[in-house]
Amino acid sequence: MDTLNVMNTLKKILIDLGIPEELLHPDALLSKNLQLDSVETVEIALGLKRTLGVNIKLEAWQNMTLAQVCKMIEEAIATNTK
Amino acid sequence: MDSIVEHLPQIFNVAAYFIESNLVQERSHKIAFYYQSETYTYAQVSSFVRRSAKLLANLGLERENRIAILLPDTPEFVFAFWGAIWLGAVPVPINPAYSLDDIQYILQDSRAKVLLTTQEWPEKLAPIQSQFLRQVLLIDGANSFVSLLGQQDESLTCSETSPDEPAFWLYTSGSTGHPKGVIHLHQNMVVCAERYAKSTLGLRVDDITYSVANMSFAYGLGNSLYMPMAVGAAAVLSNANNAFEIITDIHSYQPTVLFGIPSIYAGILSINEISPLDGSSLRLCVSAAEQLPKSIWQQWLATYNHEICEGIGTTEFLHIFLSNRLGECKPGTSGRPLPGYDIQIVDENGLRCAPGEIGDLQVSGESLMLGYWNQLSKTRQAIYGNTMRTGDKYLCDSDNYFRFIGRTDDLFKVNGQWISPLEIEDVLYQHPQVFQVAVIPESENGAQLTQIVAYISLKPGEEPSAELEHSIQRFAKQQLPHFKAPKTVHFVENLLRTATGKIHRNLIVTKHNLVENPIH
Repeated sequence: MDTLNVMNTLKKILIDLGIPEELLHPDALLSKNLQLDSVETVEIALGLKRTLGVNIKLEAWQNMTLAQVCKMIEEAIATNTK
Repeated sequence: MDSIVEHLPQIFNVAAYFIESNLVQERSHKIAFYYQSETYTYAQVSSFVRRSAKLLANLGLERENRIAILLPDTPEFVFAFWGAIWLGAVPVPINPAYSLDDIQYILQDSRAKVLLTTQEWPEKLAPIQSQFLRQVLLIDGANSFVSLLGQQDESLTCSETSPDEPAFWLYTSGSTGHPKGVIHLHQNMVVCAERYAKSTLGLRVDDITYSVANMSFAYGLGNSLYMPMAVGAAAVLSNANNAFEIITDIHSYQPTVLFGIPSIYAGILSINEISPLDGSSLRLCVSAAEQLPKSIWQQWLATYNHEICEGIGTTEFLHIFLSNRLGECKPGTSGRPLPGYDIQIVDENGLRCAPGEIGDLQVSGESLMLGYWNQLSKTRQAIYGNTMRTGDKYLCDSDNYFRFIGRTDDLFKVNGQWISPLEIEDVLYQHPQVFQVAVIPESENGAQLTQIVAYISLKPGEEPSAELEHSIQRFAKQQLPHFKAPKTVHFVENLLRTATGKIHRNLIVTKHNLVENPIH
């Protein structure tokens, strides 16, 4: 799955959680910009498992950007398909 | 009932009590705290505490002055908290997750002379509105707290305080309006350590505790700060922020006792396929701060082979006073009274209810606060002798297990934290299409974790839709911490009002049927 599709899948999960779409750009920080809380990070991980079948452990997430989460997802997908 | 307090000497300093008891025999070199990759022995803690007391004294902090500690769980919190008490001053922990308004309020209300915090805070709080604040100390950057401690000696003897004197305050948000300062005495931590840590949990010298709640909460303060110290055990100081980080911490530190809250137990269970917990180091799992659904208790047992010992306490009583015990758990209940606590279910006249009858939970015990700081009428309403009604509705079954039914006020808990529906309703009223709002906590009578549901009637001409529901949820998340935003929105035709025009929260008319709130 290419980067754009991964980003779109991640964005959809965040939109469903009630995060405004206009905030969702690749450099957005999960904590400072999107104001996500710890419960929401678990919901995101569960959403990614459901939609993409990947296991993403969202640790040290507060200073992560959306782009960095996408990279984690891409790496997980690559590992799955090996 | 035997008293703990009566056996304390007239001159008593609780910091000295907990610190010095661990300097005897082999405990001096035993690990007291784990923090990131560091460890601190009891001897090192004692040294840092004495030097903290000296530093604070040199900075002009005197007996009975307050020092605000606005920190996550760190060694500096421990040193400053005990150091202040050693000196006879009064530490006031403040939760860094509180709103800026609440933190400003607490600084002003407590009249703290000194603030110990991290570098980001003075800028966030600027201008700091309290005219009482003389000094801000930072744990990071140049001139850090620990570097200043290096210049102090350990010569300050502990202040000759008394068991009846205030030792520290905790602020509670368990009501509408501003948080209230809860004053606890030198004797109170001893009571909780004896009654809960020793007599109920059987905490041991070889235990390592791990608390999900941080030390600015009464629950976390006991779990990490004084209860392990009461028996010479160790505590992990952690700021793990979500279930993933908690699991990593548990694997790294191998704690024997996990102090959790229901939403964390649920979170860990939900990610079992992504990041399974190896709970083999644990001998005891505890839950408090919110009602634990039976289904989570059962799932935890099935998945990890551990019983969760649920209990309930309040900031006013400092820690847990009703608890389940290992091997005697009744899931879906708060357990039985701790030794030393007299717990009754009473009716509106204060008379004891019959077993099985729902009434107000009334607790009497020696760990009760002195009162709320500068809130006389609230204190007078709350306490009588060493007795207080907690605002919870309970029933007691024939085996003396206490079951939570609901609240006498409209407050409820999510993520272990108090929420008032009014705060959420105020925000939702600002949405352009909303006419009337009632926010109701729903838990299927305790079978599930509490979720926030908003019942909304729309302005004339507006039509309900899924898009509008999402718009309202997004709106709420922009104005409130996300955990306070409604999970579900139900659109209704109108909301019943009482004779005075207030929304009748108990009776919500839906399009299809009458839904009665079972709590009241």
